[in-house]
Amino acid sequence: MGAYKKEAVMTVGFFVAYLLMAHTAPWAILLGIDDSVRMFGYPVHYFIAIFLGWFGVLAVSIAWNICADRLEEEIERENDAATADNRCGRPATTGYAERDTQDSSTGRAQ
Amino acid sequence: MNEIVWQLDNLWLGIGVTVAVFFLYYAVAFYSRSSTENTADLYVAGRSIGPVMNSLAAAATWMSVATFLGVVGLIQQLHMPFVYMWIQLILSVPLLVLFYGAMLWRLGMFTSVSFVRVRYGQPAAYLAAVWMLLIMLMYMIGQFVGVAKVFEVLLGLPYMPSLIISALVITGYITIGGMKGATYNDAIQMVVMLLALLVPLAAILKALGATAYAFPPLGYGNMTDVMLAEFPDFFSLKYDPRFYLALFVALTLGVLGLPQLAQRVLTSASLKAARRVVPWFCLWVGLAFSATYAMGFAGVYHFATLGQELPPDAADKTTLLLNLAYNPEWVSAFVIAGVLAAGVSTIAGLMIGVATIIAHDILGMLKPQLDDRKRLRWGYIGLAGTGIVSLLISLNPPAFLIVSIFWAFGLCASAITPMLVLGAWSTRINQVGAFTGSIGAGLVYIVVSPYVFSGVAVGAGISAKLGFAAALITVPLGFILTVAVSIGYEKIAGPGYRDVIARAHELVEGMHGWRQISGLRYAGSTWLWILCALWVPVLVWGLAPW
Repeated sequence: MGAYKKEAVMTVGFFVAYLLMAHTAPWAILLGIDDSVRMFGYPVHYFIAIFLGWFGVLAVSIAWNICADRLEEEIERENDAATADNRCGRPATTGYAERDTQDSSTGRAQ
Repeated sequence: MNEIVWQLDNLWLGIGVTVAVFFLYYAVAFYSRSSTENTADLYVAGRSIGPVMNSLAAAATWMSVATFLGVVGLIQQLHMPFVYMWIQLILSVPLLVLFYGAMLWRLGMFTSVSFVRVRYGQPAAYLAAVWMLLIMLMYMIGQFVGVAKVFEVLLGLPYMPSLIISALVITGYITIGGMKGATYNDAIQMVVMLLALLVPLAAILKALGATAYAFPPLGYGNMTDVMLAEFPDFFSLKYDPRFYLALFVALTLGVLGLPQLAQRVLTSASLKAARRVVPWFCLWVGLAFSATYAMGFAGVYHFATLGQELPPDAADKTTLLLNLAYNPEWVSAFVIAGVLAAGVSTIAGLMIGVATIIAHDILGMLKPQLDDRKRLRWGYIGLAGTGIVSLLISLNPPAFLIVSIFWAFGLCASAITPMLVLGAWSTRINQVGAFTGSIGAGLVYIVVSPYVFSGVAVGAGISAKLGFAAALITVPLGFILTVAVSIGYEKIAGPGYRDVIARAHELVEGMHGWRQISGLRYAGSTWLWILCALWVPVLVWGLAPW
């Protein structure tokens, strides 16, 4: 899979993972709640909501950082390969901080 | 219950702590001023902030006065559903960076409005600026009023002088320090907040009989049985599934578009540093949020075991009451410093956000020939002006500006998020679609909310008041309109549209890190139509009577 597709898959995947961690109410609705089922003394759905809403989101964020670093390296490799081949069209314009000012009168870059 | 119960006996102790922390904030602001030389320093701290410092600052911007006061009161009233409502707010910065924050950093932007301008043009930028200013103004007025109420209720000072003095003092240090000063101060304030929440909470939980009080966020499990005996429905879900879907639609998608949080990420020293902000942010915010639930639990437990019923207006002050009941008075004075830190750090982020949009984005569009020195001067004027105008509005705020901030998040989800996220991920979205989607969804959101035309409002009770019912209609509408009008416009646009598409590719591919423009990436329409199809059932459900 190329870096472009990987970026899309990764973004959707981590978005879903974040939602699963921070939105646990749908699971409580689907599976039902029972206050007598406890984890560390708390009703299990309460503990899971707080635990995943903190440590779950934190774990997803660390995993995303690792994957995003690798993806950036892959994009750079593909950039270098494309530059060497010179086959993928014109170079991109970044550095919009400066362009941001220059284009103010004309409006858009799109 | 007598009002005096909430106040410190030793007024000078509270005032002394307050003066001391503001002295520190001013010292940091003056120190930072010496290194503010241009507009990039003023608005995005010269892109020099490391991830730990930035994450603390972002967390402080996100933690408002409500963290100490409103949330605890609302947990007492709503119990478990409010915990679910609050938990997902931790996704603000993670999703913001995932979907567009890192890309805006790569482009060297100062604000989300700057991105909207280069992506869609000036009309869309003006529209985005209006929505963002409205949202931030609502937010800021709430914080100014909240800080003044802290002085009034907790220290016993009269409200109006408290509002004026606190607003001027806050405006002063933020204007002096700019984004650098605000960032360092926000980081300090987040540490103050965490200490003011956690340490006194451990003592309170210990006094209430919690066995694992040494780790307050999750240290009160043994109190569950007593709580259930007093409040058998404390942990029940109470609301139907649509309420919980609305939390995602209105809040999760709303907070990821908030401009003041986006600007925080743009102060990062590097792209990697911007990404590293995310896990650190989750660590601090998770810690603070979990402590807040524990404080809410302790408050409910405290009153239940005393056999007292807390009136709703007093519920907001539970944090201080628990401290006065179980901790020495100097601890309560430190908690007041924590409440103030929560308020002023949020105001700092909002004030810089508003000033950047006015003095950089809007003025930049009106007067593009201004050099950086004049822009810097206008930036300072913008900062001071933002504080003064917000103060003047706060003196007698119009009713539409003092509705719940949750309602403003729904507006952001409807009018801002689609144009930002779709614009960053698809070259097929154009200025006509973005403008139509934003103004259409934003206006419909206002119309079907209960604050302007109550006769056509959708939903009832808390779902209507917080904008959840409206957002279930207008967020799908915003995404569908943006996509459908953009792709429809492609069909009728003239030959000049090719240049528009070429510029969109240059920008979008570049912001994702591609140095060579293929003209093919981010150009598909299938996923856009799938996204619209996913929104249709949400829209249909939203239209059904509540």
